[in-house]
Amino acid sequence: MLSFMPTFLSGLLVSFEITAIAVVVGSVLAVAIYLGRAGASRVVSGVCSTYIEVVRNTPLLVQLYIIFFGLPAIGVNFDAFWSAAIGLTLHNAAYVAEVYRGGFESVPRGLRDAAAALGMSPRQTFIHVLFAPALRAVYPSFVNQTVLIFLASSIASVLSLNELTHAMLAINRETYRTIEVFIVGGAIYLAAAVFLMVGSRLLEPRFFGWAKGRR
Amino acid sequence: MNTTARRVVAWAAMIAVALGATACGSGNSTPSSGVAKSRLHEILESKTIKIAVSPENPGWGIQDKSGERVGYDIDIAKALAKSLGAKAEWVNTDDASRIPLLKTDKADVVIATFTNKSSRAQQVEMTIPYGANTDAVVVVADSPVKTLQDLKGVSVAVSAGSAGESRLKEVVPDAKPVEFNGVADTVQALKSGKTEALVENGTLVHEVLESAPNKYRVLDQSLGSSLYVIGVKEGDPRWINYLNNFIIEYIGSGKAEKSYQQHFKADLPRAVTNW
Repeated sequence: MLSFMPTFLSGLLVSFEITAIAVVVGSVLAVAIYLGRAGASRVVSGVCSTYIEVVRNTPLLVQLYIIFFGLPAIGVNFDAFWSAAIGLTLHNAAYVAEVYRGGFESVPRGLRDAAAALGMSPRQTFIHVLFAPALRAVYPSFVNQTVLIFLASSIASVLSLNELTHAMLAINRETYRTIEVFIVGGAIYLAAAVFLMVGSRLLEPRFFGWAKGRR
Repeated sequence: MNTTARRVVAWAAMIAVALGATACGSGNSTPSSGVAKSRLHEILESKTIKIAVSPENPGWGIQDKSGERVGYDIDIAKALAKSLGAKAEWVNTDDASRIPLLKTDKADVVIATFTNKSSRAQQVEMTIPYGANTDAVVVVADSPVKTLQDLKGVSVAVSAGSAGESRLKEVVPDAKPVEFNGVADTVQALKSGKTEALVENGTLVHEVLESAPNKYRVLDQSLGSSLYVIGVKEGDPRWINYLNNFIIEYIGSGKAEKSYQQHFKADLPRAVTNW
C-alpha cells in the first residue's frame, strides 16, 4: 500500500482544494444568504429561504449530477473540478447560512439596544456587536460543517474527479486489495478530519482571545 | 490544552490500530479453508443463486421500465438458475465491482460482459466464453479523430474497471482516459461534451448511434475484441466444471443463438459457437 501513497496523497490534495473553495466562498455567500433571509424585503427573504430549503432537502449527489451533466444542456459546461467545487460551495453556503442564523439569534436583543444607546452606527453595531460574538458562538458548528463538507467531497468521485475516493477506487481496481485500500483511505480521511478539528481548536484562542473567560 | 493533547493521542492510537489491521490483512488470503463442499452443492441445497449482472448495459443487461431485467446476459443467467432448480437473486454491479463482489461472496457468479483478461484471471476464475463483443471508439461526427493514433492527447470517457479502459491504455498510451462509474455516465460524458471520445462495447455503441443519428461516428478500427466469460471465486473446480458444461449445453441447444438474435439482431459470433 505504501507504494500507492503518492496516489492517495495527490487525491487528498484535490479533496482539500475543493473543500477549501467550498468553505471560503461558501461562508461568504452564506453571510449574504443569511442577511437576505433575515432582512426586511419579503421577496429576498423568500428567495433565500427557498434556496436553503432546496439545497438542504436534495441529495448532494443529485446536485453534482445536475451541475456536471445537466447544465451542458443549456450550454454551461464546467469541468469535473469546477463542477465539484461549485456544487460543494452552493451546498455548503446553505448549511453555513443556517449555522449563522443560530449564532446571530444567540446574541441578546439588549446588546443591540445598548449599542444604539452608545451611539454606534448600524454598521458598527453589526460588525462589533453582532457579527463578532455570533462568529464566536458558531465557531464550533462551523468547524463541524467544514469537516462534514470535507467528507462529503468524496461524492465528487462520480464526476471522474481525481480526489481521494476516486484514487482509492482506482487503486482498488488495480490491486483488488479492497479491505486494505479502504482502510488506508479511511484512515487518511480520519487523519485529515482530526487535523482540521484539532487545528481549529488550537486556533480558537487566537481568533477569539478577546472573549477569554466569557464562554 | 491538556484534553486536546490527550485527544490527539487517542486518535493517533486509533489510526495506528486501523493501519495495523491493514498490515495483517496484506497478502492475498488463501482460498477456501479446506472445506471440500462445492458452491454447486450449496446452491442445489439452498435453491438460490446470487448472480451479479449489469442494470444499465443495453442489450446485455438492463432493467426496463417495468423493472424487468432483459438482455443476453440475463437470458443465460435465468437459464443457469433454471438448470440448478434455483431462484436467481440479482445483484447489481458496475464494471469495477465485479471482482470484489466475487471475492466477498456477495455474488456466486458474475455474468456481466466480463472479459477474459489475464490480469483478472489472477484474481478470480473464469469459464469458457458464452458471448463476444468489440471495444469500439466513438467520437462526435465532425471530430478530427479518424484513427486510433489520433486519440493522442484526446480525452476519452471510459467505464472504470472495464476491458475497454485497459485496452485503451495499452493501445493508445497517450490518450487521456476519463473514468466514470458506468455506461450511463460515459455515454452522458460524450453527449454533454465532457470528453471528446468514448470507449464502450460495440453493441452499446450501436445504441448510442441509433439514438442520435449523424451526430456520432464510430472509428473503423476497434481497440480489440472481447470474449465474455462467467467469473467465479477461485478454488472451486467442481463449480467451474458445472458452469463450463452448462455453457456448452446452452450454446449447443441453440438458445444462445436465439437470445443473441433477439437482443442484437445479429448472428452469435463464431468465436463463441465453435464448440
